[in-house]
Amino acid sequence: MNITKLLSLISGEAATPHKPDRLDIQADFAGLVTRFQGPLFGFLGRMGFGQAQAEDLAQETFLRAWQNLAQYDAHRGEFSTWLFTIARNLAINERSRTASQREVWEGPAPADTPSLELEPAELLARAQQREQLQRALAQLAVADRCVLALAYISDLDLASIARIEGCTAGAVKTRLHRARTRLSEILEDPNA
Amino acid sequence: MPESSIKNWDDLLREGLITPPADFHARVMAQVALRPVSAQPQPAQPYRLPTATATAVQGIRMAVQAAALAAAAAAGLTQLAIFSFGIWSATAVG
Repeated sequence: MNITKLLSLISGEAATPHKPDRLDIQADFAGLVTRFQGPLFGFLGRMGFGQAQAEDLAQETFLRAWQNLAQYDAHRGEFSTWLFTIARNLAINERSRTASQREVWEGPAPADTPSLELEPAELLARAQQREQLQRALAQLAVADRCVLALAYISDLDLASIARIEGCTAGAVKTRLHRARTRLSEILEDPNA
Repeated sequence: MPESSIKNWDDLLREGLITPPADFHARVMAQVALRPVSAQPQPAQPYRLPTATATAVQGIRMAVQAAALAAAAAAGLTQLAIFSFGIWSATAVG
């Protein structure tokens, strides 16, 4: 999916013989949803959201991107940076909204598609590890968790994360190091 | 923490912990179909021809700005002259 083509369709600058219609734009946007839905869920999962909340937030992210597509400026950064800025802001707002409530891990995500290569015991162990990791992530400060969650998105480099977070690349490195260290401590000793 | 264990957490974080459900794409696109896309940037405020009152107000505003600029310039030059005279008198008289 070519974002430049999509933007040219929206602005009406596309060199197409016919006037670009809504269906053309929708079809191209569908490609973006396909490409970014996995990384977006990954980000929201690392932010400590459960499956249901992540689905709502991911859907809202795509819908906001769709409704504000004309505001995206390709000269200012990659589409992924713009999309994850929307996702990050929504995630932080959601966290702030529920800050007064006790943060509760909603429970494990629905089981993955059963793999023929993994034994049931191994699948169970993996599910437990995942749950433990979610609980540990929930104990991190939101700002640190956010940087950690963004750092695992292959589409984003350090500079993009800095742009999303509104800080320098150095500050991102520092926060990432702090988040990893704290996460290790929590995983070693959950009562820490 | 053992190296293998850290690698395990790292792998889990990379996997993303949760995945989109099979119908997620269809759900989003169904919502997209219902919502408008802001195809063009919002238009600027429409241009209005200046009225006689607006022109008069604009003229007064410019005159006040010019007077303020002239007064500030005169005050600045006076300060400079006093400073220069002070330096001269301190060196020449003393």
